Amino acid sequence: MALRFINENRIRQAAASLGVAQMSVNASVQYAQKRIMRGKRWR
Amino acid sequence: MNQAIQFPLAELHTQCEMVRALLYKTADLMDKRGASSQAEQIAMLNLWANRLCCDALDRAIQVHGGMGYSREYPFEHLYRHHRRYRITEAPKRSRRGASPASCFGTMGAAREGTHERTARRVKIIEIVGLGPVPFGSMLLADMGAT
Repeated sequence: MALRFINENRIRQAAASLGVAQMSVNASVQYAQKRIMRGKRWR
Repeated sequence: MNQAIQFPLAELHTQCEMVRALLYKTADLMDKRGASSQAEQIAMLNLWANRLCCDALDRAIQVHGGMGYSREYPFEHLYRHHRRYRITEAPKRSRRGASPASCFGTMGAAREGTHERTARRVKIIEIVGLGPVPFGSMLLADMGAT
């Protein structure tokens, strides 16, 4: 029973980390797309 | 976009998808076979989700330049927050599922006796207190170096 709660909490924590990872990748992509370097865009 | 920015982000995105696939599969199996049946997968997930999280935040700070390091953006706070999980979670339990003892000691070959010696030595290393050992030092142990 205790093991069940431990496992549930740990997979929840892993999911939270994954969400943060995805958020930071998305934010980086968004930022890099709008960033202008030396008068022109980075692409 | 500059390719020096593009490639690492594409890689991190791929890794996110990989971890997500394992996460959904594990959650599904937890629903079907009970929450405590997937301990090994959860350990793997914990290890890699936290590692990936720190990598992605590190890359985000880099891409944002000096601003990523400041408190204007949430990245440094999140990095500090999630770096802690690699300290508190990893050594206790989450590496157990991803450790060689788990890979070799609980799988068929070791149980049938082919790799019994390796499994026993890995177990001894773990008991002595070196903790979960990487593959390299396991091979050294098997050759009698430790």
